[in-house]
Amino acid sequence: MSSTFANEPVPAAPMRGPDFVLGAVRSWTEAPGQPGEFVLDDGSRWHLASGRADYNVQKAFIVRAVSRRTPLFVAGDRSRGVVDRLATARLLAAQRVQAAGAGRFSVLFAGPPSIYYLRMDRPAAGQSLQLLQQSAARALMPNQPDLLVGIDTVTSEVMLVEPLVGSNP
Amino acid sequence: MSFFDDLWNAVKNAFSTTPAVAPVVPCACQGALTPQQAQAWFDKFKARTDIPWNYPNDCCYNRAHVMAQDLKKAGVDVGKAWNYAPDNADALRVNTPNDPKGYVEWGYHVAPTVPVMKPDGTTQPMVLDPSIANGPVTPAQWKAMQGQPGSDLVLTNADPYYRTEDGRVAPTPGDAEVENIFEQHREDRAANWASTR
Repeated sequence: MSSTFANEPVPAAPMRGPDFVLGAVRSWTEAPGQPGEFVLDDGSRWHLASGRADYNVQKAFIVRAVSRRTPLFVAGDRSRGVVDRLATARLLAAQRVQAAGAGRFSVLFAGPPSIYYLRMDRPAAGQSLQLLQQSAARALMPNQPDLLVGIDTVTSEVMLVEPLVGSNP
Repeated sequence: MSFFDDLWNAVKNAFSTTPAVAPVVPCACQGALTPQQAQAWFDKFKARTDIPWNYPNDCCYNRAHVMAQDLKKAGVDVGKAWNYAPDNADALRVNTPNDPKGYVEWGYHVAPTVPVMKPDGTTQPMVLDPSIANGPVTPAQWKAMQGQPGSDLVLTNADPYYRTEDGRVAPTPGDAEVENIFEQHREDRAANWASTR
């Protein structure tokens, strides 16, 4: 028998996309009563609805990306510029990549302790897997990242992997 | 030689001229804590709101580093316990309300250890890990809490910030980066829990 409590925390919904993008934030503007708007370095323009309950939580990722000049991971609808969820893009090196059944691969990165999963039915999963396997073969340490990674920590899923420009493994 | 000279030499020869190996015998309790002190340190760490104890998805290496630094400054002979899963399919697994899935799977986990005095005068290393325990636990108990009998438990000194199972060590980041990692993980934690009912 299950029960619910008044203040029981509710997990955030898994990232839906349908698009997943990694990139630096070129600009970020906020105006009262208006959706926050940011532009990524690929020119894509995104809106963060001001009325959403987690506005400040999502905004924190944009502010961090701007202030620390780190890439942002965006899940949303690129054609309409609508943000689903945001996260800090991670600079990582893969340590161990293994087939996990059910069309998934399990990934351990150098540094973070958690096991994350790559679903092979996601767009660009083949390229992501190849990059992860190449990175793992290099046996790099956390201070030698060669990948830019978007992770949904609600589901422990690796959503997108790109080579880290400028890395020299 | 007089009778007194002979007597004096006899007295001197009765004792070794070699100095004692160590004038002060080191106490096994040096740098160790009483069980009460270990619990007090545990409680003090757990009360720190800057450390994201409620984000077991990540951060153990950063938490262990900061706790170890504080213990070291206080003169405690601190070390670290590392637990390595044999592979991804046989991951460490801990049930927790602090992850949306209700559990976390780890490839490894790390926490600081402190020597705790026993009644017989010897010491026992105890793990301080408020992310999964309610008080100091032995390394064997700590390993058992992570649900993987085939894992590899390794005890080291406090120096490695991050250590691979084959013993390679990554450099320790500066204090600003350590705080930045905490901040990032506090934000990640907040994003995992969208609202309350």
